[in-house]
Amino acid sequence: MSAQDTFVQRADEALADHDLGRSIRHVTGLLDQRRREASASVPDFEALKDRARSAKLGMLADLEGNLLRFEEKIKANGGHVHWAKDAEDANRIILGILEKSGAKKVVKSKSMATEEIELNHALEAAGVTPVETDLGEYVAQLKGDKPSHIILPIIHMTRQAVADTFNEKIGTHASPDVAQLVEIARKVLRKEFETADAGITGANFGVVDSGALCIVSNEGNARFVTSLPRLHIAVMGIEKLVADLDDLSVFLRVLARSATGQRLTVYSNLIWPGREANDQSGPREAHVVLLDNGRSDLLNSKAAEILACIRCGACLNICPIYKAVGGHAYGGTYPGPMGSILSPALGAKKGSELAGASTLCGACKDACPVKIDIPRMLQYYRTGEKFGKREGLVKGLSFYLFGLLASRPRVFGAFGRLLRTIAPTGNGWIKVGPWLPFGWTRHRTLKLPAKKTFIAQWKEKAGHG
Amino acid sequence: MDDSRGEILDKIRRSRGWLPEAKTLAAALASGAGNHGLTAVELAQRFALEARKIDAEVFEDPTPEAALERLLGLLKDEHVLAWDLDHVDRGVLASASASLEFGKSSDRSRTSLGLTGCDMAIAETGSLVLVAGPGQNREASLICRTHVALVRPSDVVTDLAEALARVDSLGERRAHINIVSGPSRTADIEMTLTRGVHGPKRLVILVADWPRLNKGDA
Repeated sequence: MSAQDTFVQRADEALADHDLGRSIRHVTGLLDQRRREASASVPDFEALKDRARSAKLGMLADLEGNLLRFEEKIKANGGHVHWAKDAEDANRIILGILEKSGAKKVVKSKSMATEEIELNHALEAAGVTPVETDLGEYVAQLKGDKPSHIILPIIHMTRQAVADTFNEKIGTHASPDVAQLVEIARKVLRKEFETADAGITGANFGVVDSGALCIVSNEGNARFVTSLPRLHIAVMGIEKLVADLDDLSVFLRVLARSATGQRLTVYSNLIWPGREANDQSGPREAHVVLLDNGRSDLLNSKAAEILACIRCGACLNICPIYKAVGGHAYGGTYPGPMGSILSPALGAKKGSELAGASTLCGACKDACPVKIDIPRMLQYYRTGEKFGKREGLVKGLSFYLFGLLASRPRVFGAFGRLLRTIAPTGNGWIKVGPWLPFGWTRHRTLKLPAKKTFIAQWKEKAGHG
Repeated sequence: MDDSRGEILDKIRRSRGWLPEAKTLAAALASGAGNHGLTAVELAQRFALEARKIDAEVFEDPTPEAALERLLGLLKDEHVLAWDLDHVDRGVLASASASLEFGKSSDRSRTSLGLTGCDMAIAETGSLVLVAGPGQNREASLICRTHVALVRPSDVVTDLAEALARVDSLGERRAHINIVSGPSRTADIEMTLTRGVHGPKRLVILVADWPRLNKGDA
């Protein structure tokens, strides 16, 4: 895994790995194509997206009231609700619940929120063993890798790499055969489900008016995690609320189509924490941890809109930057365009330079099932307030000077003439930049300035008729 | 902990004005696909069609007797974990299978086939809605290699929105609901689609006019 500490360094490393590039382009291309096909199969997908967007923004507009109603419903059902202001708080709460119940082994289904608070580190430090059970997350955990895509965590790995990981870490003799690898995971993880003391999940949605959680998975691991162990803990960001089951039906439709092109995820699980007594085949105790970790600050910022994100990954699959460098280059929990807004705002507030990791082409906004204006927020971050002080200062000064020049035609012309006398001109290319033209020429060439300005050429042509 | 609660809510209360206006939607936009005037029989056919598209094996036998015969064939030599069903006589089930259990499995590694009904079936997506509760354990549709579900045409609803609207009316019965769309699958390794990673590898759906017997009849 990359130990580089800036996006540019990590991106350089990723770009040098041609196998990685090929596999990322292949997978993101397929996912994006499936999303398009699935969207086209709904008569008015744009209207459905509008409905999802207005439902989510409506929820966020009265987030306080909705959180309180959600809490009240869960408590009335007999579930437990906890509030965590940051990662440390959340980990302390979760460890407290586990300790009280004497839990030593925890099975987890894929959850970005628990990645964000680095729960696994906290559990291991406290002597609790966490086992990831989503196939991709499990392989990543065995290998000591970070997930590189929010839907397909190990798109950076080949089947050979997965087989090597199994053979090395759990002593199998697997060949790089996908069916065989999946079968190994099924057997190993089934034992983990049966022997775990607790299950920890995230939540895709919290349904306010009935106090329910919705968790989706294609593999079925979330069902095991929420059914076999005696204790269930769900960690969910405070922005994950939807009003009612009717709104939920809209979100489930857009989520599956946008994430993988399916009409619905294989298993859409609805759980009413606290109602376990209805059903002897489930856990005996359920807790919901509501996680802030920077979200309330985000709500009070010009990037508030990103809280409508439902983590489908569509903006990753369509982003020309993500497709080139993959998820690890972003450095944080959340990669791609949405991650460039979320990572600098949530928790460790890492990656302020990520706003630069975009061409501002706007493809992410088009692909987004809740029509989040990601480019607008990236531009806002780029203004310097969030973009890192040094970059902000240099860029600010450059644009100020440019403004001075560009608003004074005679000075601008004189400056141009000066540059033409001291710098090379003609039809060639600048391959290695002088000190001024930045890092541009490290990966690209820059056309030499023309001998004469456009206006001068125009005048000549016009003059000769 | 209470401190965090107050602090979070306080911050949310103080934030304002940064969310963009949501587009005002002219009328309440329908969340569902709409019925398009399909009859119950057509809905059931649509359900079967869509379920096949997502890799379920669907059989629409013309008579309950034919469907029962097919079911008993599927159960042969299998260790069955079943819901408390009113579709089929328990004694008949027991005589057809190698072993038959209800509720929790006594030996999960041996249980090979799960037999359930369904609370609803969704035509638009070919999905089954399974409500966990007394007589309807979670494990039958989860732990086995094969999941067999019995569906009556009258179980079929138009779309997800209609199904979830009916879930609302279950009231206190709601505790744990699964909407199952096809067999368990993963594409985590090189986008290669593989079935049965954690849940069932095979999902067999038998659509028929199953009778309504008294539960537990011997």
